[in-house]
Amino acid sequence: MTMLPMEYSLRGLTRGRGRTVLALMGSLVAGALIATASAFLGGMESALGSTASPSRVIVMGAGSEESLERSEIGARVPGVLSASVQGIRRTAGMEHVSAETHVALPIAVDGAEAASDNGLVRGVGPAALLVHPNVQLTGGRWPERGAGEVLVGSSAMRRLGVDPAAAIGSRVVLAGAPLTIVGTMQAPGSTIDGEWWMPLEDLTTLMRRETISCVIVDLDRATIGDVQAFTLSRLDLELAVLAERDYYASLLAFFAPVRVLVAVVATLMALAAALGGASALAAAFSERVRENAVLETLGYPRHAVILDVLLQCTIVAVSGAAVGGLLAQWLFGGMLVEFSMGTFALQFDARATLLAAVTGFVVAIVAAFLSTWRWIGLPTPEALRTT
Amino acid sequence: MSLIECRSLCKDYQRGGEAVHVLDRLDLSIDRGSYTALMGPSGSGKTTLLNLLAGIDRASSGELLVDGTDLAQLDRNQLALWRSRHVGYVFQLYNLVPVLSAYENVELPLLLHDLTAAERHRRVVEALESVDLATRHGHLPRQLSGGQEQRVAIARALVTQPTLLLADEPTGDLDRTNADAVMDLFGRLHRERGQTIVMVTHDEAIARRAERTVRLEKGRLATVEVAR
Repeated sequence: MTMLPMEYSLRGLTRGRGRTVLALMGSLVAGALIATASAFLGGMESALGSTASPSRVIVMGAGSEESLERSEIGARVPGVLSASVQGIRRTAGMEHVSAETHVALPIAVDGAEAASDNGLVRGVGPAALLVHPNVQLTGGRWPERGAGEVLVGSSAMRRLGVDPAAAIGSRVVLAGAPLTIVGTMQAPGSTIDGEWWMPLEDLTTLMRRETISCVIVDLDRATIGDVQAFTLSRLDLELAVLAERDYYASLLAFFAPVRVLVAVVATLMALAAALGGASALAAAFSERVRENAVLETLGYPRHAVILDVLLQCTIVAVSGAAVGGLLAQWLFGGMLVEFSMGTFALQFDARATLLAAVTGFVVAIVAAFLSTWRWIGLPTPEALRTT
Repeated sequence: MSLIECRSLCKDYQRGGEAVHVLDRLDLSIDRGSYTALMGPSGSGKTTLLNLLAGIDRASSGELLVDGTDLAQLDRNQLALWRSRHVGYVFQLYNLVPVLSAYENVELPLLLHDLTAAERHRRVVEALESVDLATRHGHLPRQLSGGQEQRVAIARALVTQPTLLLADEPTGDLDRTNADAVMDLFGRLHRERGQTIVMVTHDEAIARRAERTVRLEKGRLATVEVAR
């Protein structure tokens, strides 16, 4: 295919430098916005998605299926369930049945006057590590019952502005109760990374409640149907069962309006920036109507000239958008966002980079279209007469 | 032997719903190796005829053969390719690419030809030497005078060794000294290389440099004068 020389394309960019810089800035802002929106959505999806497992089910209070924090079931349910359902996964004789209480509480670093943050606190026993295998103890030890101890996720600590590496031994106040951090944990990409874990009994006492929130069960040979049969046979316990994956999928669906809003707002803002960039580029190129006609007179086919304009627009817009994406990653990468289910980190991944680059390419196509539109519509003799 | 044959050539435009006959059944023959000046009042169809000969405009009716090729049979891309092989075009306002050096401007049409880099270099150097700009290779258009810019434009038109050199008022933007230099160059190209030249001009003195002057009036052939 006939193309104009690369020197022509590259040096073409040095003309009208002010407009080239404006176009670059427009693409940069558009790329940064799109990459950040993608990182937000990706972070939320990943946090909720990677928290769930296909083999796990959640047994919770009937009528509270939309939120574990609202769920209340009897403290004896885990034992009854364990005795009634055959085929629950076991490791070293220990069943993968985790009784848990989930509450959102104000949390402050000891000495601070007011609560610094709200955090999701999970009351758990040792079986929690069996049903949440993505959780890794990264420092310290498991909290002891009755000792006022707590385990903290790395994101949760960072939200309070404390380095997770230096967290052990720190004192925090949860709902007015002073506690000591004795261990740190990590669950990359999961909402658990932003949680506080303490012994179930301690949290139950702290909250002055006699119930727990749920039982998380990891199934081996048993199916969710077996657990459903149990809940139906024990209507007195008022239980409901959900596949963990469905629970987090419904949460994701619950947050769909937020995700749509983020996507729409970011797209609209990016569109404004992109149109600014595209119009600056188009203005720079539309002055070249006569030059394009001269190239055609020299023997260059129209598609070669259009491709050259597209190439020049692509160089400016895609590089601007890519730099915008990288800049956003540098500025906001790893930034933690709190939502009712915990915390997630903005996830600048290949999708965010690709979307930023695609945004740049769209800017380039729009700019190339606007730039060449006038020339394409003019007969060559008329184009040669333009000033 | 004729290189160009125009038979009953017409070019009409629509202006405000009214048809304007810019060329009206024009019959004209131009020989290979000839040097022709096209003259006539404004609106007589000189530039339109030149554009038709270059294949950058299309006739409304009639026949136009250039070196045996019926231009009406070629589509836009084929015309571009044909032009790159057969036509060198010199504009009144030079129309050099401002970001390319004199050398690169002259090389630009050669990139459409299947030539080695060495052959391309040889031809560009030769073309710039033929217009006395051997020492201006690296200069950008803005660093050259008007006369020098036009000579670069002529080198660009000649570098592909075209069958036909077309010039639209090539001295229209130059002072007398530079205009004479350009006309001397055209005369030399015609005499020494047998280059076929068709040039549009308003200037009688410039037209006298050609061996034949074709005068158009209202889109028709008025007179043909042959220089002695």
